[in-house]
Amino acid sequence: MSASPEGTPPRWPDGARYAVVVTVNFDAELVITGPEPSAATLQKTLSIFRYGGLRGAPRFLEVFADRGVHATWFVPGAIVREYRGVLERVVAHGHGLGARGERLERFDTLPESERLRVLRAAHASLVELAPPGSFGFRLPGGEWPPGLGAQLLDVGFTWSSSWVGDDLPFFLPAGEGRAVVEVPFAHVLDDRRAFAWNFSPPIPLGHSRIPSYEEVLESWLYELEGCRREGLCLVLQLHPEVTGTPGRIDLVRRFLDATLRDGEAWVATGAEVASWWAAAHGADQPGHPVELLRRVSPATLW
Amino acid sequence: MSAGAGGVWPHGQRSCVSLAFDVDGPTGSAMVDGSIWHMPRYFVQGAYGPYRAVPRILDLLERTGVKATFYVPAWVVEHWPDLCRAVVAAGHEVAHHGYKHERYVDLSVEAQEAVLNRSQEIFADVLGAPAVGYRTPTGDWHEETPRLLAERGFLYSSSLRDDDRPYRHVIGGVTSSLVEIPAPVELDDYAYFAFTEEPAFPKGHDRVAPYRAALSNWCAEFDGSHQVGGCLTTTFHPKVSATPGRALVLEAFVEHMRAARDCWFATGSEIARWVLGHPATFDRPPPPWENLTPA
Repeated sequence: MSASPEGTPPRWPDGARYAVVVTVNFDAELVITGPEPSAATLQKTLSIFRYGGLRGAPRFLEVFADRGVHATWFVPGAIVREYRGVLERVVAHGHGLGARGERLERFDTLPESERLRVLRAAHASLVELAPPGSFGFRLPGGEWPPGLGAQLLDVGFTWSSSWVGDDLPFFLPAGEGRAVVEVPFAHVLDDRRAFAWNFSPPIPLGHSRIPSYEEVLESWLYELEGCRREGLCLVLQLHPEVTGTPGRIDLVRRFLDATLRDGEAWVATGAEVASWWAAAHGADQPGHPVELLRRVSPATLW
Repeated sequence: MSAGAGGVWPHGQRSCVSLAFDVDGPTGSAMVDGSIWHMPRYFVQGAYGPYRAVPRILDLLERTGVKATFYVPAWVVEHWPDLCRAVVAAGHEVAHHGYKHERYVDLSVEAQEAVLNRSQEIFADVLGAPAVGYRTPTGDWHEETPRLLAERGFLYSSSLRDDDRPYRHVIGGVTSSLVEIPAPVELDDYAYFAFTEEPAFPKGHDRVAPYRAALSNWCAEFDGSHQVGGCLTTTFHPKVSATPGRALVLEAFVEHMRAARDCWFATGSEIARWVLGHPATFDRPPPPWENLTPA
């Protein structure tokens, strides 16, 4: 809520009641070839993802521009190079950027030194597109390994959107009293979890059916209304090959229109939300799960 | 209290609902085997329940005036003591759900006793009294579990799925004073909404059910139970079904049930005491074969 007790900062800037962050995971064919390089021969499967760069991404840019929405695009380094033309337009439209490693690596299985090399390379690929300072990071998969927060800050990333489990940003310990601002997401607001489908390799793992578009949008709108009521932060995850199609793009349009309708939402990039949160709120309330975990875990996690 | 017109529920109420939440938090098999200490994202996803979702549910219950039952692993009681005391102070019931959400069927009798005794001590220390209700965590209980519960003075369990109304457990061939409040899986939110990336849940990463479809099913389950004068209980996990959006679904479900007006909302122990006070009413009737006429 914008209203706050006297002397405490408002939760969101400029009287906004709640925050909405639109993110795009532009992983392209690395969804398939990242974990399994030998899948580079699967032309039909890979073409699903090439579609994203060819048709989905421009369609997103048009819809975002029509509504004045600045999204945040998470892109693996290899895709920045392969789809340079797409990414230059993303930057020209004023969208924010974040990394997904070089090739959607699992950071929890990489040796620490290799993690650092991958993060540096991913950061360097984004620097080719835009000035550094506001780049985010989204873990491509797997767990958050010990020391990752410190490495992100050392390399130049300032915030992350990799966790589920809160409705507001929070702080991840990053050594020496530092912290990475986390802008958490929810699986239900991920279009890939809702709609993506491939025969082989199977997506989703159990080949469940493609659900009703209207019903999925309705669930998203429930979450939007819950976020609005409580003044929270909603993170939407889109994929160009999933909702950037002629049949599904209307879901994106209608969700954004619902978000913009009452003028109470702060629709911001991940970097803007993270930077506001760090400046206005500084640290988590005592009892945050991250603090509890630090207190009770027998393992070294940070 | 006297039984109502239907002869089953107090004050002439037609059916009974025990709105119930399993506050597992980060407990479960990953905590039992210790792997969770290397899974910080998974831990925080679980902790969302007590941290964000239970307060949201307490607000909802206060707005709607419903008293609920919270099945809480004692590890969660230990680590969120103020929250659990607030649940009790608001008039709700906190009941046993393992220490770290152990699967009872996997435990020896001695190990089950250790879990029960340790958890009861924590309940007594933090909440002022041991639990009188039990819901078996994560699947099945052990064939000896009902006896262990009865020996410890538990009034009820809400673990099985085998009737529309509560009944008294038969232990060692003798009808005991341990009441069962059956909990249908159709009102378990895991079957609709739970989703974790790794370990994958559902195993095939099946889609999350559309919210309206889940709400519609839950309302149909209530309508059916109300029709037959049954007792409905839920297995809602705050971390799963009290996200900002799903809390609105829960609210709509509670409002649907309250609109029936002649439904008795009760905690597990209120139901168990009612059943024990009217044992003949709750003797399990045989299937009504004699009422069925072949075409």
